[in-house]
Order: sequence, then structure tokens, then C-alpha cells
Amino acid sequence: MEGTKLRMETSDFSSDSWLLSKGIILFLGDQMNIARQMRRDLAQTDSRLISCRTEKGVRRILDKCAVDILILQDRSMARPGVGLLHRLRHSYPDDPFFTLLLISPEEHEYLSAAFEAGIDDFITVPYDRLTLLGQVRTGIRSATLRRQLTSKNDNLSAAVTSYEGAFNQVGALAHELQEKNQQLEQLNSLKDEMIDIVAHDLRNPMSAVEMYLDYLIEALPNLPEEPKSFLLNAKTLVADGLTMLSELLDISNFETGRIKLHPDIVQLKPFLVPIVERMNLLFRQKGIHYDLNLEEAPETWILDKKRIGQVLENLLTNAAKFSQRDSRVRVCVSEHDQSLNISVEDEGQGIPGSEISIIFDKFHKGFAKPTADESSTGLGLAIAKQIVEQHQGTISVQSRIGEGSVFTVRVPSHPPLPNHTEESLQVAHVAQ
Amino acid sequence: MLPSETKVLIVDDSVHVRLLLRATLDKLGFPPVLQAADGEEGWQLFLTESPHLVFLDQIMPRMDGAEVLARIRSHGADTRVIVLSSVAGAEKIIHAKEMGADHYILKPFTREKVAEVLSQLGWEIQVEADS
Repeated sequence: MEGTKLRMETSDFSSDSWLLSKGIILFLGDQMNIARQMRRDLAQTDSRLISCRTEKGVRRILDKCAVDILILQDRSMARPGVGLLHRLRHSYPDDPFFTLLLISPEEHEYLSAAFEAGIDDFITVPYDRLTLLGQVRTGIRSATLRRQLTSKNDNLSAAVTSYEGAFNQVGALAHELQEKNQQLEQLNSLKDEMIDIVAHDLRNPMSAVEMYLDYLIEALPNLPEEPKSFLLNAKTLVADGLTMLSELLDISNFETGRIKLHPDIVQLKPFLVPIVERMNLLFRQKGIHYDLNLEEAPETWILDKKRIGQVLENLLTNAAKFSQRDSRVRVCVSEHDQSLNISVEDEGQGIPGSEISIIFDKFHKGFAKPTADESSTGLGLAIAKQIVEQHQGTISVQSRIGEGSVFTVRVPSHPPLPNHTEESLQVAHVAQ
Repeated sequence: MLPSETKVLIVDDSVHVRLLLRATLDKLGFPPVLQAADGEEGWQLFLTESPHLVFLDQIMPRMDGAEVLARIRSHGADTRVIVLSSVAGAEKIIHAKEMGADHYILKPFTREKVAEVLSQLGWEIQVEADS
């Protein structure tokens, strides 16, 4: 609003002629002779004096001009003068004008009330010219400084406002982010539920298809080669699909914590040998040799037989999948630092360094391809990792391209023993 | 017990479960089996035929497996009952055992599982070498 008002240049206080203050001075009083005298005294300066007799006149000027000094003659200061100053300050809170009271020596008792009402300084009449010029200079300078201060304040409060705006915006964004996160979590659990439902609902019909195929294959032993191979292909595809479904269910059950371990004291040799021997057929088909080294294996260990068996089967299946004919797979079981170490070493294609860190992620399918076009869900290692971690253990891999890989499972000696009641144990067993 | 001398009733609303279980039992040496597609029909067949062995689904129209099982047990017959259930109904299985089921088989089932359960219940199952 100040910008719209007529302003005079008031910046030039540095010259020698300090008297040449530029400003607008407003005189309110009824003694026009004093006003005239002042105008004469200020004639040499660049200031301009405007005189008014009434509050209304003062307001008219204040509305239009950026006034630097308001001079109040004593009689107007006496009631209702104090009230007048209050009203003006109230109406023009942002106007920086300097108020100067003209007062006669015998009226000095009013001064305290006048200062309280908000005057800045006073001049006793009759005044001497230099005092007036000095006060005018002070007043103009003060008004200028106040103006600058106001503008700085404006800038500052604009800055504060914009800071507050930014702050609120950040708050709103954080809130939005939180909501989005919640939505994502909901979507994620919805996705898990969907996978669960789909996997369950697909499993029954697919198992039925698999059994029908089994019966057909059995019932038609004398089929010609081609239809027979079609039936066998169909059976392989369905079996692969079922494996994928059961892996999907496994991973979803692990992630939702529905699978609990059932650790037991396990005799390692009778536990491990049959698992490796079950793989015999697979290894033979691909012409892969295998060793099982139990020389340094402890007699017993506490672990969940079914689940660790699943991990070992997965590692062996992978080793077979990614190995060439006539290569070797070594399984070595030993005890180190109170941990059971099971390592499966192959002479396969190896895993690139960039994949090592993500090879245990869900749905990861790596650079290496199965050597006999076997199927892969990319879930086996993720499940293995879940199982091993539930045993408080680790699973890791070392690999060299072209030379092979070693997967090592570490199960510490004291995995958590189940703290379920008999009944919940039964339910969990049944659920599996 | 000899499979060939066993009268079997399958009560399940899925035609595929009935067909595949029938084929499985046929392979294991059981005579042709009786079949019912819901609990009510199963209960009526039980009353008229007095089977030695009942395979009983849990969730079925008209009368569910728990109700059929309760009726069989209060009837006092010395019938073996094997409950068929999906994974989702694990609590139901425990409930079924409390109600007097002799065993349970989870669906999807395999021929091996059926043979194993029947052996455990005392049937003389010849496990043929897989082709």
C-alpha cells in the first residue's frame, strides 16, 4: 500500500548540507502563523510542509502521501489530541511517520501523557530554527529507517510465510507418503492373499490332471511312441506347474509366518544319505557323479528334518540342473565353530558377481541356464534362505564363472526349539 | 483285512476326487466302490449298504462331513472312516478325529498316501513296483 503513495526522495543525508532533508511534513493545528513560520524556516530544505486544521484533513493527506513527520500543535494535543494520536496510529499502523509535539513551556506537564500516547519528540515554542531543522532531520531519518525496517519485516514475514508454506507442504507430502505406503502394504498383502488363493485353487485340479495322466500312462503301455511321449510331456508340465504352486505356497506361508519350524534331535547320517540317494536317478540321467562326504559330520544335530531336507534337495536339484555331463557334485557335511556346515559344490557354469547378491531373492532367474531345459521358478533359493534363516543360520554362495559354485548352509547348534503347545503343533503338522 | 473283501463308500462332491479315488482303490485291489455326491446321499447309502470303509469329504452340500460322521458313530457301526480334507480345513481335521474319524487324507491326495493310510488302518496293501 505504501508503494502507491507519493514519496519524496529522502536518501540524501550524507552531503555536507545536512539541512537539505527531503520529506513531507504534515502540520496539524489551528495557529496558522506557526505553520507559516515553519514553512519559511524549512524553505531552504527540500522538505515540504502541508498544514491541516482537522483530523479529517490529516487523514486525507495520510491516505495519499507517505508522510515523514506529523507535527501536532499543543492545543490539538490536549483532549481530544491524545485520542487523536491513538486513532491515527490505529488507522495507519504501517505508516512510519515521526510525531513531533509543539508545546509551550507552561504545558510541559502534558508531556508524559503525550509520550504515552505515542509522540516521538517535542519542540518547545517559541522554537529556534536550528532545533526545528535538527528535529526535522531526525524525524525524516527515523521515518526512513522505519520504512526500511517495515519492508525488511515484510520480507522476513514473507520468508516466514513461505517457510511455513513449505513446512506445511512437507507435512502434507509426508502424510500422503504414509497413506501411499499403507495402500501399498494393503495391496501387497492382497497380492499375497491372491497368490495363496490361486495356488490353492489351482492345486486341486492340476493334481487331478496329474493323476488322470498317471492312470492313462499306466493303462496304455502299448501306445505308439509319439502319443506316449505327448502324455509324458503333459505329465512333466503338470508336475512342474505343481512344483511351482507348492513353492509359491511355501514362500507365502513363510512370509506370513504360517510355517513354524519343528526342530528335533536328528541322526545326520540316516537323515542325509537317503536324500542324496533320492537324487541318484536325476544325477544318473544327466551323467553327473556325486560324492557325499560325512567323515567330519557330527552324529546328531537339532534341526527341522523336513525343512532342512527341502533345502538340501533344492541345492542338489540346482547343482544337477546347472551341471554338464561328466561333471562332479560334492556334498560335504562338517562341524565348524558350533555350526553344522552343509556345502554343495558343483562344476557348473558359475554365477556372475553381479548376481551373487540377488540370487536368494524371490523370482530370481539368473544368467545360467539349465543344461537340459529343466524348468525353474526362481523360488527355490528364496525358500531355502527362509528356512535356513528360521534356523538362525545363513546360506551363502561362492562362485567362479566357468569353474562352478559352492553353496554353504550354516545351521548353528541351538536353533530355537518350538514353544508351541502339543495341540498347535498338531495343527501345524496337519496344515503342512 | 483284505482289500478284495472290503465294501467301500466314497462321499465327496467332486466328481474328480470320486473317479480318481475309485481308480486308486481299484489299483490297490478293492472291489467296485459305492459313491455319493453329497452328505445326505452318503448317509442314505451308508444305511442301506453298511460299508466297511467310508472316505468322507468335509464340505459338501445338503449335509456336511461332520454331520455324516456324527450319525455314523451314533449308529454304532464298526465302520472305518477316513476324512478327506483340503489344507484350509486343518482345524476341521482335528475336530473330525475328536468326532471319531479313524484317519485323514489331505487333498490333493496321491496313490502312495492312500496306500499308506490304508496300511496303517490294517489293510493288506500290496505296494506294486512303480513303472
